[in-house]
Amino acid sequence: MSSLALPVEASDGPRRRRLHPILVTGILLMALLTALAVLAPPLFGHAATTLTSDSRLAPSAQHLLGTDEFGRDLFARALVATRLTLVLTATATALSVVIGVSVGTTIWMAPERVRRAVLGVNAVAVAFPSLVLALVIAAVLGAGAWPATLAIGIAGCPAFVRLSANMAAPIVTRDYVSTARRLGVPGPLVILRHVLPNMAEPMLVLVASCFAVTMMELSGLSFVGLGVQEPDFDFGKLLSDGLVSIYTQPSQVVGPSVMLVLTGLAAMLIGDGLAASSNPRTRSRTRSSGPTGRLRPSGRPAVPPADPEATVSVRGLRVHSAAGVELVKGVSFDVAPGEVLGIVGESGSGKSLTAMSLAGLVPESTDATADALWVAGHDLLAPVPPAALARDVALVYQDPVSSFNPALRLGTQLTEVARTHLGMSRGAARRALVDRLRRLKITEPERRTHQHPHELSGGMLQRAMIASSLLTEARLLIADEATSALDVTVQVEVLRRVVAVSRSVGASVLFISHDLGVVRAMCDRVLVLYRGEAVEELSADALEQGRVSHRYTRRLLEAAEYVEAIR
Amino acid sequence: MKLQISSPWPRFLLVKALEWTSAVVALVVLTFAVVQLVPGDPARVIAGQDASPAVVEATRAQLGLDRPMLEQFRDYVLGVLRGDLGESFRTGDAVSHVIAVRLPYTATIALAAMALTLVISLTLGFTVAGLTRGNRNRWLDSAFSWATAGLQALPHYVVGTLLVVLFAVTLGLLPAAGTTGPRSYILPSVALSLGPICAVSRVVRREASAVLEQDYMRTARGWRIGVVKQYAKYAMPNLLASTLTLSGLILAGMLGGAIIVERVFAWPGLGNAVIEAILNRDYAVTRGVILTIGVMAVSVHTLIDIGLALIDSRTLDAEGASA
Amino acid sequence: MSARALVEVEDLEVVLGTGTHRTHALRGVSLTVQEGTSVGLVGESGSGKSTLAKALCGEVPVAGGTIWVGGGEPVAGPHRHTRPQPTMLQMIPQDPYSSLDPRHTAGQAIAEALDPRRPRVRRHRDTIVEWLERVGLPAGSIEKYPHEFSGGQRQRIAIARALCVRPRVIVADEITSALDVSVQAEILELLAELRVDLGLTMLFISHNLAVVKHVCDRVAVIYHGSLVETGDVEDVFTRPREQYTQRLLDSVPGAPGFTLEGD
Repeated sequence: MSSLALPVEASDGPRRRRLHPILVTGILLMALLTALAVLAPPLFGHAATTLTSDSRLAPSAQHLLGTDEFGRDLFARALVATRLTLVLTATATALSVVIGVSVGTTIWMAPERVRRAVLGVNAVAVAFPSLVLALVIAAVLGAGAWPATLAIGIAGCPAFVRLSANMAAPIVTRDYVSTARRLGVPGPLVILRHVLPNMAEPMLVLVASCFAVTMMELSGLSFVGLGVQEPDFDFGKLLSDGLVSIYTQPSQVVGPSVMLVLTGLAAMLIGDGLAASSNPRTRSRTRSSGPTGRLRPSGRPAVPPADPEATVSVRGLRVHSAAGVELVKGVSFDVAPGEVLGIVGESGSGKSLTAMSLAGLVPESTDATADALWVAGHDLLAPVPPAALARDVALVYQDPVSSFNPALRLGTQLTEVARTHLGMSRGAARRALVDRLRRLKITEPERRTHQHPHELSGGMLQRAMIASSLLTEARLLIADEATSALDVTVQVEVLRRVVAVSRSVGASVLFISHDLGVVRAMCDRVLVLYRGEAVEELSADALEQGRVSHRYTRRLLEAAEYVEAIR
Repeated sequence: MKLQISSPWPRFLLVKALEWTSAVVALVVLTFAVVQLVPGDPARVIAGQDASPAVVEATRAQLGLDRPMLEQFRDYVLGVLRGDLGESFRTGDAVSHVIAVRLPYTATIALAAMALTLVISLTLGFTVAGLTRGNRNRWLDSAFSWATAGLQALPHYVVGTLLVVLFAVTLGLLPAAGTTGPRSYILPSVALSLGPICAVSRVVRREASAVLEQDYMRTARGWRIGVVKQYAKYAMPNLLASTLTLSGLILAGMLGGAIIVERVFAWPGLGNAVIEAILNRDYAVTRGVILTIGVMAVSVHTLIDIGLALIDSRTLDAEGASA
Repeated sequence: MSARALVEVEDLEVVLGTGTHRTHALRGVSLTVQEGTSVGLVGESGSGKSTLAKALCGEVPVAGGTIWVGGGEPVAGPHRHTRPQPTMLQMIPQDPYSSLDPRHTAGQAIAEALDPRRPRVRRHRDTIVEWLERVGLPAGSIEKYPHEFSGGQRQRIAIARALCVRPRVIVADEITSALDVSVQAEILELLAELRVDLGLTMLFISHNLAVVKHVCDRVAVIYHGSLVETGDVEDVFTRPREQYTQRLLDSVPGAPGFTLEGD
């Protein structure tokens, strides 16, 4: 019953796709560094380690970066250090990843008590910066390349346990995992077959950034003297050697700095590229065009509204996706004052897009045009003072929980329009709101205004939203699947409030729903949308007696009869 | 059960206090274990491989390693509670004195860097998210991604070194090392915060984009309130909450970064002290400093959690359920 | 038809959560499903209907009472719970988008049901195709991934996967609630057909009273963790004995007792 979601398949299944340019750059860079790690020691090892009398030479054609105090070629040293750096980093990363992922996934197959205990202990470990943990291990094992690798590798585990546990959590709760267990697939097989493959992509992103961080920390330990020791050298050790003579020979830090940055960058780019290519939003960016979310005149001659008194008068409303697909194909209708118009259709019929365009809230990544669009006396195709529109048009959305701001109190949110646009004082607005909440039979109205949305039930939130439309005496109430997420007994309450509000202030109602039974009970007139077209407009009576002409309406009616009717 | 009239705060604070305490207890045990876990004979390792057996035994007695482990642990814990962390094996200074002298230097650059990080990355990330909303300004999107990825690949100590080369050695504008006045704090703080600024502003940008697409932002747009108010009043609190959740580790991790960065600037802080101590096998100082930095990290963590609960009351209720 | 009870739930108590989040999800629920019959379990959100399904699958700890599936040893008693044998009980989950692994083809999904340890599509191809066709999908679906199917088609695959094990009992948990109305009707018709063809024994869980009448013989209404009314579908619909059942019936738009007037 998704409403505003565009018909983009929300699938995460396997498919062929182009490699993201960032990813390609990262992979090429990493391949180059790996080649260096293999080839540099045999090719430049001699120049990098042999002591000569050419000490502290400035950069020249022969020594691209000059020489150090022992006459060793600095360029060669920077290249040769690649091997040790990469080997140590890869080892430490593998240690963190293997331990972290195994623990982070297997705990989900363990009893809840065990899982909580492990995660609790891990949460304590995560609170310490990994470098501090690494220092503890370095203090035990002493300075050295392998102790430092072990230290960084182990210190990275808690973070990876947490990340992979978090990443596995949504997968483990998916039905295909519980189904597999019910079918008798053993726990470890479930992890291998269903959990790990489905977290592979985000996991690779993490591994890449873990590699970058590990390299920085490992080189950092070498830099401060706790890691690689003479006569071996990695990037960190070279940088530390260069720091000693920073005033006399600042060029000595160039080689290791550049290599550190290139290696880190390669890993980061691979991570970023993987993330970008697995994210459908960035993936589809290549062919999108310009800004969206606009409402413009179609350019066709505007037809004057049939009834100048109508609350809503729409002619030729069209909505396009950014990719150019027409989602609403020229819909026209009127809503008389005090009338309840139902728009009914299944997912993808364009009913929510129509409703949102009427409110002047064309969703991102779509664009709307119309020949004429009059709402509550305002021409939406021309600039409309925001205050007038906010006052005259009230909206109630499908999901009560997500349409309220979780961080703000109910009173603040529901009086926003009254305070901003009607110039009411905070106190007056709150008192008025309490009165309206009471009128809509909400218990303890004063307390509600001080509560946060998560403290109220869905039905209560929807009624509160309707109450705020009473506050501004809106002329049009748009209810977009406002009761679809509610239980039937709660739905009835909300529907009754909508009717009551419409009567008490004489507001028109645009009632959007997939539920033919509800629409039939609520509305004076019904517009049936199918694939973006208004296929039929019916009076409540015609619908009640089944006098429908379009094939689709008939099918919908039959299905509704089958699925919804009690007798 | 449904009507919970009492405030959830006392319970929340109690849970946080318990978490803090258990983390500190873990730290005490961990730091105590440092000496016990040294491979081979700790006394021999500390005294040096060439020391005579008499010297080794003297070292053992001096460090109390000849006593039963439980007794050593009891003394260590009692010492920690009294604020007595022993003496440096090399210099004879009281460890608590070493920490008292050096802590302010580390705390200053770490806190300055955290503040810089939060302020800059929130502003930067939020602005970029707002400007690139719905595929607008795609050049800015790519520029931001590339720049932050590139700068993030620079380790603290490389940034520090390059800053020294540029501002101290070449331009001579700022001091390269040591603490010679307020100006000497600039380079270490910048070096320490550059990477985290990139990391956190990427988090902010991603979270802000997500927040701006939420249903409640559509609700706020439906109320036709100004863009600035929409962002500041309706998006910011949620953004702050998710950003703090995700970047708490980065902020606490800056204490780790400080250890390494201090080396670049010959900074007289805890970082240089602990590295020296580890290299010298000066276990009393090592323990004391790690304990101090650890407690600081845990405290930052706890403070962030409390700040989070102040911003978003949902975390109060969810406490205990999350991992 | 023998009147053997395949599912027997006696005085079931389930308590979920700990501390302040503790809730008494089921309070003394007793329910019987006879072999070859289908029982609808109707309730609103938070009524405990899904908890009962999980308890039958041995996935929540039981605080009191007993559950038997297929006679013999109880699968759950106080403070113990075991998974029933796969061939004893299978569940069709609610959400067709999360019930299929996005990286496995329809064929692989069904093969896993047929042979959980070594799911080879090749070896079971004939059986898989037979089941796909039985739920109204072309044989070619075997090679397709979930994202190539619509919600209704996915639900068909989930049905085939649960049925191909030939379980003695099927638990269907809100299997139409995520679908468009016209698709719901198709799935219900399919299920009604399969029920007759295969003589299924089923517990059909739904928040929608109306759908129950197509696939069930009996209906049980659950409210706040307790069964308020049990009876033949026809009786409960036309002559509800409990006030809550009446209110539930009256809340359905278009029902005789439905009104938008009043408080």
